[in-house]
Formats: sequence, C-alpha cells, structure tokens
Amino acid sequence: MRLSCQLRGIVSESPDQIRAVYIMDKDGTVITYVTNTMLINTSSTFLAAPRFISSLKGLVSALPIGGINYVLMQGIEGIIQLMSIKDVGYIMVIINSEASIGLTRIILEKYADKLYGLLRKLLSASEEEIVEVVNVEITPKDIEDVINFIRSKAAI
Amino acid sequence: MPVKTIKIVIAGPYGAGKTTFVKTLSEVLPIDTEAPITKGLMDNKKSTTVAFDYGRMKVREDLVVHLFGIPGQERFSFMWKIIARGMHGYLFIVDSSSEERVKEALGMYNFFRENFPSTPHIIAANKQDIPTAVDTFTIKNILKAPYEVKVMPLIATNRRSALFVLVTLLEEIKNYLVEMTKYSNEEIQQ
Repeated sequence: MRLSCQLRGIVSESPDQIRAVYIMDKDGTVITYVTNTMLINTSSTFLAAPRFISSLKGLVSALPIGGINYVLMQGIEGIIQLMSIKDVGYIMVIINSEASIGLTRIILEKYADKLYGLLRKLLSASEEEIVEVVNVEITPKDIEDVINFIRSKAAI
Repeated sequence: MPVKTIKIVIAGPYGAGKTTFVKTLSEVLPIDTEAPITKGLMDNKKSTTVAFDYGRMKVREDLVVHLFGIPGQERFSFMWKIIARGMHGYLFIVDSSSEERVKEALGMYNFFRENFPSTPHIIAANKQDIPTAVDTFTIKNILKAPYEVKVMPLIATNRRSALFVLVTLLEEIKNYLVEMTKYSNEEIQQ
C-alpha cells in the first residue's frame, strides 16, 4: 500500500514525463504498478525479467526502439522499469550485488539526479548505495574452478 | 554468502558469430540462456530468442559466470562501454571469411583497446571452416593487436572449438589475476 502510494506520487509529480512505473519481483512478475492514461495507447507493455534485462541487446530488440525512451532500474525489491520517459535516454542502475548480473553503473550520468531522486524515494536508499556496486574480488582460484568445471562438463 | 560474479563479454561486429558462439556453448555447458517474459503480458510468447546473447553458468553456490554479448551494430556503440564496464575479460570475435570483414572489425576492436587497455582478452577468428578464411597471423596484423594477444581460430558452430576458445580466454584472465596478485603483494612489501 505504502509502495503504491509512493509510485502514484512519482507519477503525479511528473505527469508529462512518466507514463508508468512498474515494480516487479525477482521472477519478473509485476507486483504493483501505476500508470496514467497515456499508457493505454502504448505498446510498451513488455516487462523484462532480471536475467533478461541484463542483455542489452534483448532490451533493444524487445522494446520499441523508435526512441530509446525508457528506464530500467534494478533494486533490492526487484526491477523498476520506467517507460516512455521523455528525453531520458536509457539508464539501468543496479544496487544489489546478488542482482548485479547486468549493467553495473549509471549509464547516462546526465540524467542521474532525476533518477537518484526516484530511486531514493522508491528504495529509501542513499545516493552512494545506488551508485556503488558491491564488488566481490575474483581470484585466480575462482577462474581455475571455472576452467575445471568446464572441462568436467564438456570432457575436453 | 556473497556471490562472486565473473563477467565475460563477447564482442565483435555484427554477423561475426557472437550469438552462435554462446548458443553452441549452451549446448555443452549448463548455461542458462532463457529469457522468460512476464506472466500475463504476452500470452502466446514464453521467451525471446534475444537471450542467446546472454548466458549464465553457475559453477559453485557462490560463483557464477555471466556471458554478455554486445550488439555489434554501430548504432548501438553507445552501449559498448556500458556493457563492458566491470568485465573480467572479453572475447573479440571477427568474421574471418574475408579480409574486408576483418577490416570492418578494426573500429570496434580499437574502441575496446582504447577504453579497456588492460583488460585481458583474446581474438577469435570465426568461420575458419570457410576455404577463403583469412589466417590468424593476417588478422593480427590487420587489427594491429599487441604481440601478447592471442588470435585463436574458431568455428563457432563447433562445440569443441567454442569450448577451447572460452577456456583459452579464462586462462588469460587467470594469468592476469596472478600477475595482479604478485604486483599487489610487491607493493605491500615495499
């Protein structure tokens, strides 16, 4: 309920820019959303699962590409996809190491301020939490394990 | 337990064989390439084919390898750096069926060299089964690849060939990490 109110708040704050806000769980299922009437006429109803959005080619292939007017954000609670945001370009933010299978940082810093604001509201996160990706160091042993894993599976 | 993610990027121009490469690997290795579409939104379509450019392989509970294909078209060039950021290594695939096709890869290869100068990588000369295929030595010259960068022959449709190239890249990444570890230890000692 609280989340839904926050979403409505975001939409109503920028009615000319935001047509819809969806919140999805980790399986890609919409758990709550807010739209305005403009969304009814748009075909942009494709919502991507976490694994899918990590494929940028997937994104541009699956979503209407006439103008890249959508934003995807991945947060602790799932995916946030803001569609058809006027002149915003393309941005994905990942703030959770477990979910950091996709892009790792802000893509278009130009629009960062606006999106930090939205994310902070939605996730109650600080700017640092949004921008910084937790990096777990990879060791030579990890790579060796991958090589052995591949050899065991493929018998090469 | 934090999950370690190894990020490998598959780069190369349009039509070089990136998608085929990941697809072939997924036939041998437990690579998850499915891309489910949200329930209820597209009733007749369960997944998309685009996910073949992305693969996820779980090696241990706390170790996952991600393969990211980069869209090769120039119009997506703004995404190249974005996708590649944070990668541990990349495979640069070129269509080696003719010198012209190899030359077309030069711009993208230079982009990666300039933006990720120290990232371990190898070049894979795909379509080596074509009689007119350009040899790896010539490819290295055309791309002006540094001496230490390996140029591997590849037939992306061939499982053994694809696996061999992937393992070679992983070896390069491992060697790089070993060197970095040595360097860090020397820094600490000084």
